[in-house]
Formats: sequence, C-alpha cells, structure tokens
Amino acid sequence: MNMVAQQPASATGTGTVTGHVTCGDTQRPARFATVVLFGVPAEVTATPKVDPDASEETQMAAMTAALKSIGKTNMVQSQTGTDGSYVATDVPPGDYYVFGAASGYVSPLNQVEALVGAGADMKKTLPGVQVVHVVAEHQSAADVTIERGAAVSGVISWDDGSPVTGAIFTATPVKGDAQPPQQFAMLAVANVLSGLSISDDQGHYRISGLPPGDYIVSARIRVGQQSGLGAGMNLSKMMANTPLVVYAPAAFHKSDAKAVTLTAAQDLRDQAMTLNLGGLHSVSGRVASAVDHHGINSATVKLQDTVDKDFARSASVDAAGNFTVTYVPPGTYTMKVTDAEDTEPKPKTDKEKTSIFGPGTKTLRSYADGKQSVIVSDSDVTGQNVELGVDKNTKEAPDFSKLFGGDDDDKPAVKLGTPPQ
Amino acid sequence: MSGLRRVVVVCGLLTLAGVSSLAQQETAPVLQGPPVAPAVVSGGSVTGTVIFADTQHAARFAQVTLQAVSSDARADRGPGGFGGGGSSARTGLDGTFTISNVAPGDYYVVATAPGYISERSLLQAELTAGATAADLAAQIPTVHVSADGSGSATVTLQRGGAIAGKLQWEDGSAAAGVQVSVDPAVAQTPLPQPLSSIRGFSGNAAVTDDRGAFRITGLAGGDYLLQAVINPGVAFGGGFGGRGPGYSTPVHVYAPGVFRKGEAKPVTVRAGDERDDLRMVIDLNGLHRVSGHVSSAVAGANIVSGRASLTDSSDTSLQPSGTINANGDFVISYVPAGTYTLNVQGSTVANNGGYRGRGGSSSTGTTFKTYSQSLTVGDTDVTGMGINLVVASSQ
Repeated sequence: MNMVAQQPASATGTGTVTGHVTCGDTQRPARFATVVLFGVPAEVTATPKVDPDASEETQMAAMTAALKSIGKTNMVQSQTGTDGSYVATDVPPGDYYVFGAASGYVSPLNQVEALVGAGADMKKTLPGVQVVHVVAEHQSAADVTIERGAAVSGVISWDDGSPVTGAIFTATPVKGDAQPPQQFAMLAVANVLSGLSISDDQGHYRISGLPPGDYIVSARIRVGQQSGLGAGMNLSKMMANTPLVVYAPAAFHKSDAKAVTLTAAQDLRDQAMTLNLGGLHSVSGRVASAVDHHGINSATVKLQDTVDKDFARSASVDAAGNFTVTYVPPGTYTMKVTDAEDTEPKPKTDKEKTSIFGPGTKTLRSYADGKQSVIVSDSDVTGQNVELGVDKNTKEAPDFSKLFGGDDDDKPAVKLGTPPQ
Repeated sequence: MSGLRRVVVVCGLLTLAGVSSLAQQETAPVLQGPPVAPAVVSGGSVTGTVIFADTQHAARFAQVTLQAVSSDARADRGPGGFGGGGSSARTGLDGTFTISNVAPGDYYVVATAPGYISERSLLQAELTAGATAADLAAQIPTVHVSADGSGSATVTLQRGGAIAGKLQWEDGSAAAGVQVSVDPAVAQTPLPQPLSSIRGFSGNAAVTDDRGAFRITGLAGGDYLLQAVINPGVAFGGGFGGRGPGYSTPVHVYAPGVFRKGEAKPVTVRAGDERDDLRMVIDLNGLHRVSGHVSSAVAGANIVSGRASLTDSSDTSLQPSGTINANGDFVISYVPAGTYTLNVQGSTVANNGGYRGRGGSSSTGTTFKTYSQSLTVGDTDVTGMGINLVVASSQ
C-alpha cells in the first residue's frame, strides 16, 4: 500500500518530512511506530536540581523556569504505517532531531539520557541522532533506525508466596543522575509507557526498551489508608499518601538493592522480588495546638531516615489530629510536622454542588513546623505527640495557578487576616 | 489558551496541582470575624474486610470505595468525588479497611483487586443470565452510616477468568504496544437503578508488551469478543496545537483476525478459567485506501475541515473514516473490501486554531449538505474521488 497517494499538504510557511523507521534488530519496518521531530534547541541549560525541602517559592521558581523552557519546545509527532513509512506535515522550518519510538525499543528520552550519561556535549549536535533540515514549502527526507532495548521481567510475591498485584515497576540506571538539559523534557511525552510496568494479577512484571547498563529495579506499592476526594480536596493530604518503594530483590533502602546488568537487547527473566512487610512498624501520635491542646485537623507528618536520605514515609493527620505513619522499617528518623493548619470546609456554592472537585477547605489558622527524633526498632511506636505554636502569618496554599500562565483566569488573591489569639 | 498552558496539559506533569488550584480558586476565602474552634467534620466511619473467595486470603491493598445507594444522597455527600464516587481507601496487610468522615447514608461497598471480578461485572453477568433485580440487590454489600455511628461490611471477591495470549503481524513479528480489549459477545441488559450507579473496574483492556503478549483478567463467566485497536494516524503537526495532516479512525480487528464484528469468533470463559493460549494475527495487507478531494459549489468557499466516513452495508460496526485537511483532501486508510455508504461532511471553518499565528478563521462559514453515495471497494485503492458539496437548503 502506497502511503503517499498524493503530495501531502503542509500549511503555507511550513515544510513536510517523510521517511522510514526500521527496527535495528530485525531490519524490518517498524509498524505504527511514533516518529518525533524534535526541534534542535537554540540553547541548552541544565535541569536544576531542586531540594524537596526548599521553600515553596524556590520550588515554584524552578518549576516555572522549567515550564518556560518546555514551552519553547518545537516538536512534531507522526506515526508510521505498515511499511514503516511516515509523513509529517506542517513542520515549521528549522533543524530537527529525528527519533523513533516503539514498544520494546530504546525510547527517545532514554537515547538522550544515555548520551548525557556517556558525557556527550549537549551544546553540540547530539552524536548518532539524525538531524533533518526543514524548509518551508519543501519536502525533506529522514530515515531512522530504532534499537532494541533490553528487558527485565519476573514475579513479585508476598512473603506467603501470593502475588503482589498492581505494583508499579521502574528500572533506574545505577550511574544515573545524568539528567538531560531541561529543553529535552518534552521527549518524555513521546513514549510515556516506556520503562514502566505494572504487575498483573499473577504478580508478573516486565520492563522493556532499556538501553544497556546497570539498573536498580524498584516497585511502588500504593498502601494509602484513605484517599479520594470524599473528605475534601487537599493537595498536601494527597501528597502525604506516598507509595511504599521496594528495591529488588527485597530491600526498602536503595543502598541494599542488588543491581542487574543488562546488555544490549538482553531478555533477562525470572528476576523474582519478595515483599515482606512483617518487619515493618507503624509510628503514631497526635498533632495539637500548644495553646489550647486541641487536635489540629490538617498537617503532614514525615519520617525522614537519618542515614538514607532517599527514604521517607509520611502520613496526614485525621480530623482529631491523630496520625499513623505505616510500614516503617527499623531505623532512626527525624519526624517533621509541616503544613499544620486548622481548617474547615468551605461553604458550598450552587456551582460547586455540581462540580466534581467540591469546595475544598478554608484555612483558619496556621502553625509553626515541628520536628523531633524517632527511633523504630522491633515494635510499633506510639505516643509521638507534637504540640505546635501558632504561626504569625496564616499561610495560603501555594498558588499553582501561576504555573499555568496565570494570564486569563487569575483572580486576585484574598489575604486572610491575622487570626486573633 | 496560552502555549504554556497547553504544554502543561499535554505533559500531565502538574495536572494534579492544577486541579487543586482550580478547586481553591472557586471561592476566595474571606475570613470575617474571629474564627471559632475548628470544626471537626462530622460523619461516621466504615470498617470492613475484603477476602478472596478462592484462596480465603485477605485481599492486600485492595481498593475499596463507598458509593451512595440513593442518587439523592450524592448531593449531600459533602465535597464530591468523581462522578458518584465516594470516599475510598485501600485495605491493609490483613485485608481490613477503615474509611472515616463518611456522611450519613446508605452506601454500596465496592472493592476491586486485579484478577477478581468487580461487583459491577458480576451483577451485569448475572442480570444477563436472567437474575432479577431483587436477587442482584441482595448480593452487593451495603452499609448504613448514621450521623456519628459506624458501619461495617465484608466483601468477598470471586476470582475472574483470564484471556491472555499473543498478538502478531502476518509476518510473524510481535504486534507490540497495541491496545487489546474484550467485550461481552451478547448484548447486555442495562442494570436497573440504583445498581447502575455502581462503578465497574475497567480491567477489560490491556496493551500488548514488547513481545506482543497481553493478559486481561477479572472476567465474569461468559462469551467475549476479543479485539485489537490500532491507531493508524495519531499525528499532530506544526508543534502543539498545530493543524495535523488529517487522520483516520482506529482500525478494529476482532479475533481471530477479522474486521467485521459479526464475523468475530467469541471466546468462552468460565469464572476462574485461564484462556492463555490465544493467538491473534493481524493482516492489514488486504486493506485499501479511499482518498479524494472535497470542494464546494460556492465560489471562493474552500472546504478546509470535516470528515469522510464509510459505513459497511453488511455490518454497521465497520465505519472507517478520515478527516478532511486544510487543502480539502481526505484519506480513509485500512478499508476492507466491501460495499459501503460514503458520507462526507465539510466546512469552510478550520477545525482548530492552535497558536503560533495559525489561528482558525473567525467566520461562521456556510452549512453544506452531507454528501452521500454508495461505494464498492474491491482489490485496489480508490483514489482521486472528487466530491462537490452543495449548500444546505435550510440556509
């Protein structure tokens, strides 16, 4: 079947790119593969590392900067047919990297990450990546070959041998802090499911499309006690509901993980993982006001491992200020209480009765953060009570609308008065 | 819509934050007078256990959702959930769950776990098999929550059937990354109110892995049609918000490898059965393209958007279609041989604006009559069709 029956039409001032995508391992056409024409960035800047404990302002600034650079991305996506051919129309003039993406093959983002990891100079043209020059009212050609990735698969079980279902698996490069410049962030869209797997009803997982290298396989298990929107939409409550992360073959700390080595296109099977939560404990207590000792109904409690900075477990308080942080391995932790506020549900407007989000909550009073040390050994820890002083300024929730341009539907923020003591 | 905003939506990175900010913007908080003691949200709590019927093991980290029995209760449920969804929780290691701050009322206790039949699927299967509404209502666990009381419920989940296998192209290579789904082979009787509000677990779809393998589980006993959906033209051009070259609708292929639903061979599954040997071969080589150009009978009015669609005369489930691009051209890809009705609807108004100076026309355009003709697709492509649209008489 001829893919280009007639000259494909591009809008005035734009060009057309045609070509073929071939599977490197079989030399067959890559059927229904995604083709990404990614505008060669005018400049590249390192993706800033943001400390998760940094102030909200710092985090917002970093996110805004990242989104601004993503907004400059020029990316055109197309798809191949049965013969591996593709046509991309309406491509603004300029230079483009040409990437192919298909299940089981190394994804565009992984290709770029591998180049960064290998020390390529990202300010120059990426080595080994095809570049096509697009001219208005013209047709350019670019063929691309995609490389088979390695795969790692196995079964995850509970300590009693029954399968762990619905766990989200990823494989992270061991030498992996090589972040591509932020201008390449949009490449992640091209193959969202690449490098991800969810264990099925038999506990089976399979991560494919991995470039050769050493990897740590990890699984995220959602263990949140209560979620959903029933008690009002609260971002910090949702964030506190963190999944439990387990590293292959059976570790809660990344340093105890056993890395797997994958060669190009290797199919590594039977990588069993075990999940034993028997040795884990809970830490519970209450967050209250230092003034009148009433329970504070909105706060996040986070247990941060003092040795492993990647390990933390968190929880939010209930309406009476009580909290339970679940599945905590033995260790020494710093317990931080943040975002403590007295809140009440906002009155419903007619509009919100039909809104799927509901009215949310209103902050009456904010509290200072709290911090104390907690040691978990061989049993559950209870009575971790924290009393917090009133914060001078009642804080507004971070205004995420700023990230969305904030140009057309911003409402003036209403400042809350200082609550009387 | 600013480009930045669109990028964020495409990213999906921060949609959660966006949703939250929308919710927060709905009413600006204005504090009047001194705050009283913080209100403790009233309501009861629901506790319970989820058990797997086949193993009698506790269902670990299963999702449990409370759904209001009466639709009236939904308005009073307090801050809402998505489309009738109430509070939800996950069970712990021992299969128990607690959901607090539940507004008073009667709730269905809906639990889901991979591999197990959702309560909705079970009800649906039994209804289709002839069970009465009363039989059904008695089966689903409900709980009553009073103002400050609590309720409890035990949910037992039945192991479902599985349909698993491999998807291949006609040359023997794996069809990877293809969406696969199963649907009941016979028409389903709609569930009566209020049972119809119980949400199902949409576990009847999967995407083939890099070897073409797929696995769909949690199926109630019955006959199913297995289909693969190939998106032949997910293409967008010109950067985000661009116009796109025109694209075709997805190609539906039914097991064992046919394009008409009526010719599909159902797969029979009994609850708990494993059908893991299914092999489906997709051969798109015998399919053809139908293409042409759409013009208008009005001088100076060019057709720049719209859709050309085919409807198979023997099986209306087969409806390949394609969009009309800015030049008035259309392509319908992957059309099986057969006799069709071709319908063409066109407009002089561009489909979407986008940004970067390629905005759509602001004119309201002319309304054209839908063009219709019979078309037989044999063993070659149909090219060069010229279609002239006339103005609708109602104008």
